[in-house]
Amino acid sequence: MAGNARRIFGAGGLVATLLSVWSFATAQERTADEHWAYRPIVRPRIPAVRQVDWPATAVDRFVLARLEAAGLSPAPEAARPLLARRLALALTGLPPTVEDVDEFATDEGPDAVERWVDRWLASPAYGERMATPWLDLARYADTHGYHADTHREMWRWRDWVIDAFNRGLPFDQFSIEQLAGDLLPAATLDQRIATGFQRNHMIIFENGVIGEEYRLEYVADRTNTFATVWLAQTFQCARCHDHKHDPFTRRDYYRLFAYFNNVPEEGLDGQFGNAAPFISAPTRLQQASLDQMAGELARLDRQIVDRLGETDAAQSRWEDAGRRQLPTLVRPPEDMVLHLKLDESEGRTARNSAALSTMKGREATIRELSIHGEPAWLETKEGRALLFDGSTWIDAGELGPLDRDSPVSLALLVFPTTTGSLPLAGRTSDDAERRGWELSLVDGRVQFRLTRSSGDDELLVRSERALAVRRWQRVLLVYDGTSRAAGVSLYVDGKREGMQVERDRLSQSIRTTGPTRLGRNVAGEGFRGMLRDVRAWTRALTGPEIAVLGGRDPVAELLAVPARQRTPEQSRQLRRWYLESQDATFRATLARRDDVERSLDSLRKSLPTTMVMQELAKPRATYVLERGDYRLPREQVFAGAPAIWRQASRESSGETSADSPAGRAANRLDLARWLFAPDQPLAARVAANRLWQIDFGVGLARTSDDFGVHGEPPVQPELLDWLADHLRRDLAWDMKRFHRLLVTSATFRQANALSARSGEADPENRLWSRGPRPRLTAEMLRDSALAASGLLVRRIGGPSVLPPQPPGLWEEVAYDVLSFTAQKFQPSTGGDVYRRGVYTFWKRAVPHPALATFDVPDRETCVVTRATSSSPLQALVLMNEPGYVAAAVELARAAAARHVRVDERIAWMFRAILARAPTREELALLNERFAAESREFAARPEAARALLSGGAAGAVSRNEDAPSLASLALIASLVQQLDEARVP
Amino acid sequence: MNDSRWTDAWRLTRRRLLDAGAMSAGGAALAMLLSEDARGGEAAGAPSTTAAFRTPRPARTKRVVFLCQSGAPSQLDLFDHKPDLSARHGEELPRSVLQGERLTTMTSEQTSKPIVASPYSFARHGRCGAELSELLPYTAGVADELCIVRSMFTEAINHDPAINLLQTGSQQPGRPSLGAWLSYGLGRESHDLPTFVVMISGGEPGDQPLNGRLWGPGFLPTHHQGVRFRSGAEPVLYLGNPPGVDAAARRRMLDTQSALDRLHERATGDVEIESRIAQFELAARMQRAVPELADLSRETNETFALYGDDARKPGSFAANCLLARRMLERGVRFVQLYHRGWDHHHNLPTKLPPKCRQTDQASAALVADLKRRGLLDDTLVVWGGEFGRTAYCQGMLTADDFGRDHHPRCFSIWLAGGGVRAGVTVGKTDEYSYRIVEDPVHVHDLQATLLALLGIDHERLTFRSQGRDFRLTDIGGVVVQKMLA
Repeated sequence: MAGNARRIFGAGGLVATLLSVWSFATAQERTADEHWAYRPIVRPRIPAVRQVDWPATAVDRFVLARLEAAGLSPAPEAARPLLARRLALALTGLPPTVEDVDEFATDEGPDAVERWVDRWLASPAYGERMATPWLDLARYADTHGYHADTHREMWRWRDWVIDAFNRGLPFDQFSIEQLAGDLLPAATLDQRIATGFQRNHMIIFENGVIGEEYRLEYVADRTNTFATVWLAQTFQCARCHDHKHDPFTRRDYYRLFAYFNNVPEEGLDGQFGNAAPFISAPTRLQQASLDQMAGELARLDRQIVDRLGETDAAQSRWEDAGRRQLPTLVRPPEDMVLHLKLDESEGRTARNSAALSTMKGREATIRELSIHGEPAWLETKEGRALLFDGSTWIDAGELGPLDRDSPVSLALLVFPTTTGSLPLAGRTSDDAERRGWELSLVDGRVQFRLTRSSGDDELLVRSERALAVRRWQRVLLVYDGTSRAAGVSLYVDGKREGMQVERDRLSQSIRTTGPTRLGRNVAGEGFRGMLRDVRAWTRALTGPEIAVLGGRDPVAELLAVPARQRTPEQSRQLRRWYLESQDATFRATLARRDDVERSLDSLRKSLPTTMVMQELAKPRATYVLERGDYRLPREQVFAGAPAIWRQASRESSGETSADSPAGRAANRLDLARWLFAPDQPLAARVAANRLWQIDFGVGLARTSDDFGVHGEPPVQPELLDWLADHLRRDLAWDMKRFHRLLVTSATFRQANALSARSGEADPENRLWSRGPRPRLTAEMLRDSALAASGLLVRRIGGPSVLPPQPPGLWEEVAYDVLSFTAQKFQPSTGGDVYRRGVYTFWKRAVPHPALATFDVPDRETCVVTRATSSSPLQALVLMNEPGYVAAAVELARAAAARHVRVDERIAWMFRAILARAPTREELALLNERFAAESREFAARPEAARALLSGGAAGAVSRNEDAPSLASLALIASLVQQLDEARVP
Repeated sequence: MNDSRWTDAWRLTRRRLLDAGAMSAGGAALAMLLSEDARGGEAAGAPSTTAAFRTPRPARTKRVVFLCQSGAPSQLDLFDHKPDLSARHGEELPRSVLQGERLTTMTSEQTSKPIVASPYSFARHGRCGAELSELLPYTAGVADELCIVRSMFTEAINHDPAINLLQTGSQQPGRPSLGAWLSYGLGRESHDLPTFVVMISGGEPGDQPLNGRLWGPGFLPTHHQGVRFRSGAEPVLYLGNPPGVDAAARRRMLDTQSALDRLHERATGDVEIESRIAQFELAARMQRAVPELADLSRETNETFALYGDDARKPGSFAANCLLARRMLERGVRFVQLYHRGWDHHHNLPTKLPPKCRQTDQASAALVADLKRRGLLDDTLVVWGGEFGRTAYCQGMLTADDFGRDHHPRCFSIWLAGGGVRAGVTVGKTDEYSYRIVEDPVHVHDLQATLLALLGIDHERLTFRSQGRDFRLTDIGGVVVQKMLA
């Protein structure tokens, strides 16, 4: 029927129009009672069965009743080794070890299965296994996806998911924290990290893009993902028009949209890593170090303050001596990020002699910067200088990620030759926004601006006085990173200048790309005059430092003030100078303090960040958008649940209604709580079905992403309803106990071979007349090969890893290898090569080929069910990908280390991969293959060594029998390629 | 083949499944997948089940090569001659032309928008008299084979959404690519090679990036995705056996493997195992066929002369064109080339001519080469980018320098071969090449036309995902009759 409708729709014409009008009219009139998925859950009675000794759980009674009705009987229980593999893969994504299989096979206890299931459920691998389908739903990736597809940092969220599964966070809480963790009272760091679920969507920063168009895409993505994950509804169909067949209007769509439309985010963002809003998210270990260092710093600071508060006679003597013979106590600050003396006197490059700040301290390195135009060097009374003729400019590259919240100080000696508008230094975008920062002279007055959008979102100040023409002047600008005009101070020849505030409304990031330019702006205007001694610091200089740079001696100035007339601040300063110059212990304390501060600073800078949800203080208005187009807003709407359920919730207590909390606008927390209200049937049905799909490979309702009228209804609706109700009421949403119920069922434990009867009557196994037969996912396949061989490194969590891949895959599609992240592939080394697949760096534009070939989703949008396909490319990966080859070689080594006889070695490898022992026929075939390959390798030992060099160790050790080991590796590879390795 | 009763039982139920499947939505696709799996790539040509997608008119072309010029070439300097602009060079583009419609944020705030006349001369070529720029001398040589469309348009104003639309029918990600749709709709033709192959050339720092989704499967089964074919020792990823394993050893291994797999098939009754065994056989055949395909040493000097010296440089556009011809000869259905670096916002006079030199000769050579081998009749060649460029200058217009911003409202492409009308120019734009005045062709129209040439009705080629039947052409697309022979 549906097929016919599809054809008629597809063919177009009047019939289609009439049909769509009919469908449009009826879809929205449907009530919650008409469609199975929307009806309230009424717990079905557990049915009676004839074969009473078969059911192990309530699940089995439903399954068996249906089988009996169809005249079928269940399959026998799977053999223990196969069951061990099925259980271990379902619960941990890893194969059981040979030893585990042996133990399990001989465990004759009545609750053997339950005990082993509990063991696997308690393994940390459980969280990693369960995370993978959740990451598919959440479209988790390590890059932004659009355009240049640069790096983002979301592994703290990924680790939160793994941890949440492992600590058994109930599904309702698991959901609420991801939907609205930030809105929970006294939200913890973990709860805020959890909201990253909604920030995993793709993000763009392509130059020229209109931000609002894409910001709305992000909101739509959140809305659609929410509806798919928690409601299994195809809400996205109602974005442009009322839903064609499900009871949702376009208005409903935008009401749901409104919950997710209140984030302080930009349409264009992500160029430098995470997109706002994001937070620093130290791990527990890092937090402990932070606390320890902060404590140490506070202790040292107290010591210093105490010492500064003391007085002693020695200081008076020092002061008296100091009046006669001035010590040079305050030096110009040396921690520049840029220092161009411009005293080269020839050539086309300028030396940047600022020391580089590194983790180890500061390293003196001289970098050459190119001078554009025709440089002219002059000898002046002040020393050598560079003459700028209007076309001369210096490319100063990257000074660091300067933004509106980063303090900065700039000093330079200027000799202007005209009074026009002269750019001095800056970094701005090459478009009308002129985003960035700039220091310039405007009619001789010193102007400084920090700009998001020129003339609008901008901080712009100008000195009251103009600089003199044809005279050297020392200009020093200090900005404190407050985004306020009051935070800018200007000194000319050491004297503070009055500033005129032109604009003081900077509110967004000013980051931009392109070079930092000296002597020219992007519009092509150039400086005319001379410059020398240009310095920049990425901090605000202090008073004494400013004085020294202005050519003054702050110590002498202070000593000149009689002791009684000094302010407390001045007294402290003087005491500090005294102690610094005279007291070695004090100096040591200061040095120690600087060390601790530096370590703390570098730890802080290295902390992972993670994108999170936040609410705007002033809510953003949401409008129905005509055809979904950002340019066509229509009526304003407010956050609320779809009409069909609003009615339902109004009839109930009202407390959990998502749209009418007393006295304030509804938010995501209201939505999350509404989802888990007792009268909302979808969350439980959808979750129970998806958890079933994880264990059995296919849901009770096969379209686990669509519970609408076009979805496929469950074959056993009573079982689904019983499970849904059991999950929320009896188990209080405990996912571990739910999986335990499913996998300990007799249904799950059935053998999965096809019998003639069940093949005929239940061809697709929709009635579960035999055991499940899901394929291994891409991750499980690789993890299994690595685990069996002993190569798998079981470290949990941390930044994503990059197992080697053929060179050039990223670079061939990259935007700019040098300027952007995640453009150039740099493989991980050491143990990170052999981590679980869930940790593989997910670059959306180019997913790792060893995974991508095996049906991983693109992680661009929410995916509930992975495709299953067969292709020759998969065969090539299994045969030749270096990771699989290494696993085969190491599996052979492990077998050789355990057994002496060849057939025992082969049988052990077979069991390491497939859990069961080979049949006699299988073993004979493998033995025969081994014997023949050994002869081949014996004749060509160099070939044997070449194959073995693909192992983790690289070279072959001297006491290894290369031909025999290489033949064994071929057998290992062969077993790994068997169909049973992929479909247990 | 094994004859166990379990297998027979499964075969029987499969047939019933197919019958049942054909009645339900997406049934055709299901049936095709099952038959594709069962055949394991053995059967050649379009299976009868794709009849559901077919147009009443027979297919005019069997295979496609799409020479995608990523970054968007300037139609004003290559295909769309506007001689009257010379007199107005440097004048402001009248505001009335812009009509307040959206521009990219790179020039929307640029106060002055001076007209730039093309500095390149145009001439008429061939019997058809097609007008082409002096930058395309070789293309001019095959003018009589071309169907030039000057009236293409799109809605996207930036690269990411625009190239997505061109390659997947949607500005936003998530949809299958053109080649994946063709693979799904037409099935496999070659026994030994992938159905859909992708090759990339160009790519200097700052050239517009590409993304795997442009040749991805979207929600279609993964085996429909494009296979990247690369220069170097291993054109297809993981094609080569590990060191120490030669072809003979691989053969012996596969024989033992399939013997073991068949034992398992008998034990489980899972006939899909047969199809997965076939994938390994196919892989082994690819291991032989791909190196033969990639080996250009047997091509004659005369052929290299035709494609130009670049064709000897692995990874160049010209070498990829030559490889494309070899693929098309061997039954690859869809060859997708990308040549990067056409995004000339600035310095167009110094950047455009070298781009043309990299592509002009080889593109024309491919048309000529297919023609002389009798392949052009049923092979479609498409050349073009994701949008056009503006008549006004981006940034400062100087005596010897200018640039052009993105322009979605009109752009030019050309097609040749396989059922396309040769020697015509379709569509007309206004005096500024700003707006279309005759025969507008939306990207979806182009896609509908490509499918029609392949015998596929773009409204019937659907796949259900998350409750909706999706099409390459979304909810648009009209077959452009003027482009058809």
